Amino acid sequence: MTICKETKKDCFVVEGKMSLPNQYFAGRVGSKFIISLRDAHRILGVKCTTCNKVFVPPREYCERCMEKLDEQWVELGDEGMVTNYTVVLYNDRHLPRQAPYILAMIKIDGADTPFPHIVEGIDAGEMKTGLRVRAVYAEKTTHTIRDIDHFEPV
Amino acid sequence: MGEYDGVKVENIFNTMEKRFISLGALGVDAVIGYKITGDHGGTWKLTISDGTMDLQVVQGALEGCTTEIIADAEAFVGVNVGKFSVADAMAGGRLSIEGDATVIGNILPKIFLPFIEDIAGGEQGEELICLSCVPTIRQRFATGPVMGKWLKGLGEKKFYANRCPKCGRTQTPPREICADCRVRCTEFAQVGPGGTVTLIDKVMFASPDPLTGKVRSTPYAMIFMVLDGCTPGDSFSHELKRSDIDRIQSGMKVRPVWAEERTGGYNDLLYFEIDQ
Repeated sequence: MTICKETKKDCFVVEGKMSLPNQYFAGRVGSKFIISLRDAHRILGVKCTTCNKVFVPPREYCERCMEKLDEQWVELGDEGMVTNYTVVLYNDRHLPRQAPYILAMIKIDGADTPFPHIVEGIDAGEMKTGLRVRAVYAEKTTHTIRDIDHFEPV
Repeated sequence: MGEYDGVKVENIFNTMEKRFISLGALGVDAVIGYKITGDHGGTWKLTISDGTMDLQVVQGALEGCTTEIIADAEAFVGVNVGKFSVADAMAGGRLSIEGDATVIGNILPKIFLPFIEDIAGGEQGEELICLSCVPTIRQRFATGPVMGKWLKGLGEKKFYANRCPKCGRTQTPPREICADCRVRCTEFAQVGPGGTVTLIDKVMFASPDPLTGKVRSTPYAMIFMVLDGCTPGDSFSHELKRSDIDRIQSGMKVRPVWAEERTGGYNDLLYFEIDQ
């Protein structure tokens, strides 16, 4: 199929702006996780005893066997490993950093699931999977995962 | 006795100031007397005026009340904690009202928050996180030449569908490609202005307009119609005139109602009405 270069006849652009008021409820398990980051600077996970699997961030039920996990908390350290990463090259006011910045999947020691977060303190060119990193906590709380400000190479 | 679930009559009266909603009491003028019998009972006089409340314990007889509530303590508390209704208490002979009874249904719920037992001391409440935000999404809708022609046509009080060179179907509004054949449709066909209704959608609960935040008043109705000249199945939907909602039926003829001032955009077409 050939792509024709359309004329501009009859074309025009309508600008709009949608406002979406919205509320996010962290839930009991989610709230406990955030509060631990915020007040104790401690990363928590939950453990499924059937699957022998530790979930970070924690969830109420095991995704595989549906075991209830909300009473099975584990305290973990601040260090872990990068399992994968990407370099964000575009800017948007909803993004947490100016481009370019590194967004990585980080598996905390003792956890079986990684979660995404920012890695700072290393050039994109030198970034690699397997990199050992440590959490750096934020000065000011936002009551979100960003109470960890970023991870830095160990 | 004289209490319900550990809540006493005095708890209800002690918390009245805290539960008072000043805005709900604006324009309200009432003097409500409470004669509560039994253990922990007593007599109280509540004066509502000018958005303020004044509660007094009364020794002796009640005077100057526009309403009097007479109840035994357990029934009074039971009604206040929502265990049973005023009507149930009255039917059981445990609560009676003298004077202006409308105050119970019309005034009291507006000026007092419901009584909720405080969990004072004991276990600390669990903190639950809730994040509120209003993300704003900027958007640009670019019409392209085909949708642009449709919108321009609305400005001229005309409907431009396009016709597929392969299957002959019309598409209303026009699309660059035939949805069935995937062939470019370059031929425009003027259709309408009237049409025949196929389906009707009566909306009883409106969601807010994402651009303005305003909610349409309900009920409103959307109709699907085949404009005159369109191939069968090529239906087009738009809003129906509100006064036609009760009369509309599938198969009826409708005609468009245009805005006085048109700019060549989707606001030019106001709604459709039944074509007598």
